[in-house]
Amino acid sequence: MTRKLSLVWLNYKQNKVIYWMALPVVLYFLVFKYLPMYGAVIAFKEYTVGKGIWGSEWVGLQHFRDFFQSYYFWRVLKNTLILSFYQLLFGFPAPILLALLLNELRHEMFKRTVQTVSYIPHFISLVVICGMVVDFSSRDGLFNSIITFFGGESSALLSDPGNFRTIYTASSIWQELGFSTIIYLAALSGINPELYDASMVDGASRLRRVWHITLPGIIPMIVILLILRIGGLMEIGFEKVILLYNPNVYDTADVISTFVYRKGISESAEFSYTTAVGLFQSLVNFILLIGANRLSKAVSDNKLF
Amino acid sequence: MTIKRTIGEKLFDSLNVLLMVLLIIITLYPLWHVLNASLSDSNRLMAHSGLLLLPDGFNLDSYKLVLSNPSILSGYRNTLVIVVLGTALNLLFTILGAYTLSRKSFMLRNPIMLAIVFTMFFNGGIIPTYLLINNTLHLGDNLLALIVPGLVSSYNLIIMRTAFQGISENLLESARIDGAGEMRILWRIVVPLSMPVIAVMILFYGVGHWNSWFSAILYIRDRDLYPLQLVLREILIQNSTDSMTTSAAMGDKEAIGESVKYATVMVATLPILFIYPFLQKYFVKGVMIGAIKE
Amino acid sequence: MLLGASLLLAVGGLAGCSGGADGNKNTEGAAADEPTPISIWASLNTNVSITLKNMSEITAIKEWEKKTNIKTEFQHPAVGAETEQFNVMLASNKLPDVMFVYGDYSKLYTDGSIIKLNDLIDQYAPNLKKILDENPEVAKQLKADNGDIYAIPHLRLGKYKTFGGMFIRQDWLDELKLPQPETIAEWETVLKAFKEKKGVSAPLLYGAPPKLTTMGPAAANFLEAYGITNTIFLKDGKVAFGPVEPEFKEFLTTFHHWYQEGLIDPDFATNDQKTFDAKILSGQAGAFFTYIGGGIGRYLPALQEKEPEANLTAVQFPVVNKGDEPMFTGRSWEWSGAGATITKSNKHPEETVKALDYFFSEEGHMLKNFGVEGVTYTMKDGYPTYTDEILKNPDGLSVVQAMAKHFIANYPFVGEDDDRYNEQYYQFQQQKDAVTLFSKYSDNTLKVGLPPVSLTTEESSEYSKIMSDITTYRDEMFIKFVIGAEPLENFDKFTAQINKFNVKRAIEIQQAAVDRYNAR
Repeated sequence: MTRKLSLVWLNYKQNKVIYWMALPVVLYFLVFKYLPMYGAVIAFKEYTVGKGIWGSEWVGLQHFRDFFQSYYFWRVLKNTLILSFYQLLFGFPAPILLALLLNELRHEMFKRTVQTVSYIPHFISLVVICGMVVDFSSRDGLFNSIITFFGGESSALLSDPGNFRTIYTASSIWQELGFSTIIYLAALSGINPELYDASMVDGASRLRRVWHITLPGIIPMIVILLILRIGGLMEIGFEKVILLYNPNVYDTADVISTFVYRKGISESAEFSYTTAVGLFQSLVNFILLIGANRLSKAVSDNKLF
Repeated sequence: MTIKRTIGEKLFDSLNVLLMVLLIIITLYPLWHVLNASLSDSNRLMAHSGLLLLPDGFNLDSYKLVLSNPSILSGYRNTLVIVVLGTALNLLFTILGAYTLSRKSFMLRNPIMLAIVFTMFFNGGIIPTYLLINNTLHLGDNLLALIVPGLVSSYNLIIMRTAFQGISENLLESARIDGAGEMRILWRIVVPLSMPVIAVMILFYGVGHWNSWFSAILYIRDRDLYPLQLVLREILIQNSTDSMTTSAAMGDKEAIGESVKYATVMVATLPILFIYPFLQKYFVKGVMIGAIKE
Repeated sequence: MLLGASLLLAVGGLAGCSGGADGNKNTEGAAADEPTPISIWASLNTNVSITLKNMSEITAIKEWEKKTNIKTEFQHPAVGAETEQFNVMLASNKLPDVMFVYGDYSKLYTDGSIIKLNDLIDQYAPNLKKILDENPEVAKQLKADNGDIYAIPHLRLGKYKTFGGMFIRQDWLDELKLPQPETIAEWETVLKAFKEKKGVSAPLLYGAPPKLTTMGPAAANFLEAYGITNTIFLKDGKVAFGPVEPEFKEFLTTFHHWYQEGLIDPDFATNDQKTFDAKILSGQAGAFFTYIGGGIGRYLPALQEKEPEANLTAVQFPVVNKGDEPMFTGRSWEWSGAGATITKSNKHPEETVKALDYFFSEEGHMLKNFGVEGVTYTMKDGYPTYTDEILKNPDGLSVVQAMAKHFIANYPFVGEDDDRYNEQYYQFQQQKDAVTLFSKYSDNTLKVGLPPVSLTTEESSEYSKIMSDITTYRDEMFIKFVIGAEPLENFDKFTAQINKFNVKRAIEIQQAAVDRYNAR
């Protein structure tokens, strides 16, 4: 321990400026993130606003037990993970693909136009976007017109449990694709153009160039974002699901957050219960993230810590 | 690019262009829909379903209603202050953090990084933070309360650090040998080289500030300090059809503006949409500066 | 907003904004003739915020200040954020003198945030005391199980108690020469006629929870025709849970049949407010549930703009057998549940109670509901009639906005509502008829509806634990039974599963609470 401390001291002496530069950020996290963290104890208490965080009674793991023993625990857990996995599988690569395709466009003005237009849906509120999706999916909506055009049969798409994940994932990609691409475009613009010139002289094909220059140039960013994404697998926000689902598709659509949300609106806000469920989700997410980070460390140089 | 394209490449280029045109159409639609809906007659809009390619009964009433709200101007002003001041502070802190945490010679960088990532998952909830900001720091009814608690986003910090790590170690080392201090290296070499990612940060933080309203409902009581989104939220709820038909007591609203919902979206969205075209040039510039990287 | 459902202490449907300063500042040391300063936390109704920034600018409030020698300082939370602000306010321990809330008062009292008012009311609130003495039912609702009173209430003692119900396309009925349906069988005939003769896709329109609340009120109305509800109610004076009763199966059988026949909206499961509205206004809906004020006030003019002959009228709550009286009517309680509490920080509880009691006096009652005589109303043959300032506002304000600017009739506040407000507030004859029709059998509900009981913290936590699984299951299975995804033969499995969730315990908890209530 003391050996470690003296090592740090030595390191400090050699890099004084770096330590001082890091200080404001470290202080920020200490004061605004770590100091209020005591609030998490309400997951183990029966919190009421009047008694306050310290005054409320301890109940130990009661809230966790309630959640795990709920009849629907396994279903909402499964649905959360599957929906997240869909998002990861299709939603994660989509912006990378778009960034690569954009990078291959020759016409600069056109490229900019595509970028600017495709990032707009991100700014339209979820309520409006989901309103459109519900409308398009109705029995006489746009999607059904397309289906019947190709000889299919019209149906209420959103009341079929088999469609929910597809509609949820596709509409998320629709809304977020352009905005998520930006980060990769920034990474792409950092690639040394000389590398391209050299490869062109070598007569490399475009696919080879993409494979050997473009993609490696943005791999660190991809890996880091992937690690962060894996650290979010246990969480699906309730807002969008609530706007799209109905009890008939609970089988595939009901996730942890919506289950907890419904509990909340019918009875008093169960601060403690909600916090406990959140804590459970965070714990799993954190473990997933550490695992993903380890794995990445082992197979590549990219890591968070 | 005068090198000859093969037939395959030409085919790919055409397909690519076609795909992008398709993308433009389907991603432009939401905005187009909102624009048309905001210009439509409320009653006709309520009866409408399906695609909305043109306004249904042209009508500017909803804009009149939204823009005549007494708090809309102060809302824009407050939001502008928050976006500009907030983003500037965000950048300063994030750059400092990202740079130090990207230095391999900084022994504490991994433990600190772990501690920062930890806060992405675990937090104390609303109430302790509220007590800190409101009771301890006395920032209630102060725009700083909307800026200070979110000074650094862990996610953005990580992205920026990743970008900084991509800068050649040799370049920085040679600057160091030339006698440049850490501050000089950061502001004269690292930052100019990282303009693309800084542009992204401006976008992420700026948009975040622009859209945020939740901390305002906690900390701001003075109506003249309401940010734009809170003002718009109020107009929205005022004209919301959901809140009244489901209300358990007697419904107490009359003519409800369905199109108002969309006018507020337009008023809230349009100004921020223009930020990106301005930032775009940095993505291109980055390509040119990239030349000096190695 | 759809998702803006408030949680712990929702300030019932009110929305507010704007605000005063922090906590309990100028509450100290008021000299004898100086007005007593009182800070009041209340949400600002959105109809007020259109013209005013603070409730202290409302004409009636200014008048109230003069009459009772007080100086109000209103603090308003942001719209749709009442719960969050309320919670952090309690947590930060900076309380105003008065909090106007809606919800679990006992909890606030046991937590030490508010004080009990029994003695103060006895001494300083003669008008309220008189009302409570004359109306023991009201006093019973207001009191906690232990007899404590925690709030100066908002009361509805008039004859209008039901503000929502079924509306039907009267023009179609007339065209098809059909009478208004009363029984389930007659409803079936009417819906069938709508389907076959009018060719509409949704003869009966409703929505499913959680988007359109508990089972979509339209479906609930038909369920209630069978003498049960979709949740807890009183069966022969004892607490029962609707979905496990045999009548629930009868209801499901009818609805499944209706669904197969195309008599109910095939998309009922996915309806949200937007699609719901669109179906009504595009003439695809024959009958639906809505509220008289916000619903019909909006649908009728919009519908008539497109189809001038269109007409929507109220239909009595359905029953199974001809001649039966409907029992469940969505009747509101005399005490709406909203009220003003006095916090522990209040330095002048006597003056505060005295001032609030003013609204229960004849003069205060008129001020609250009609404003200032000669300005906002005039007496015509003993009937307070709103002036053009309200009904045809010169500044172009709608009726409700003009009312909100001058007095407090449209939303809960301390005092008693007045039927004469409703009679003038409803603009259309259809609305005026509806409130009379819906309220006709209101009092039947007293026999079968669960009274406003209060649960202890432990009870409420256990109850909600049990019910969260049950509600999810019930809502899901309801749709499956109706659309036929689950055959009705499995109804016994359905009730068995609900019993497994321990509905018995949930009923026990409520029964105990009802017993305590009756003992008040």
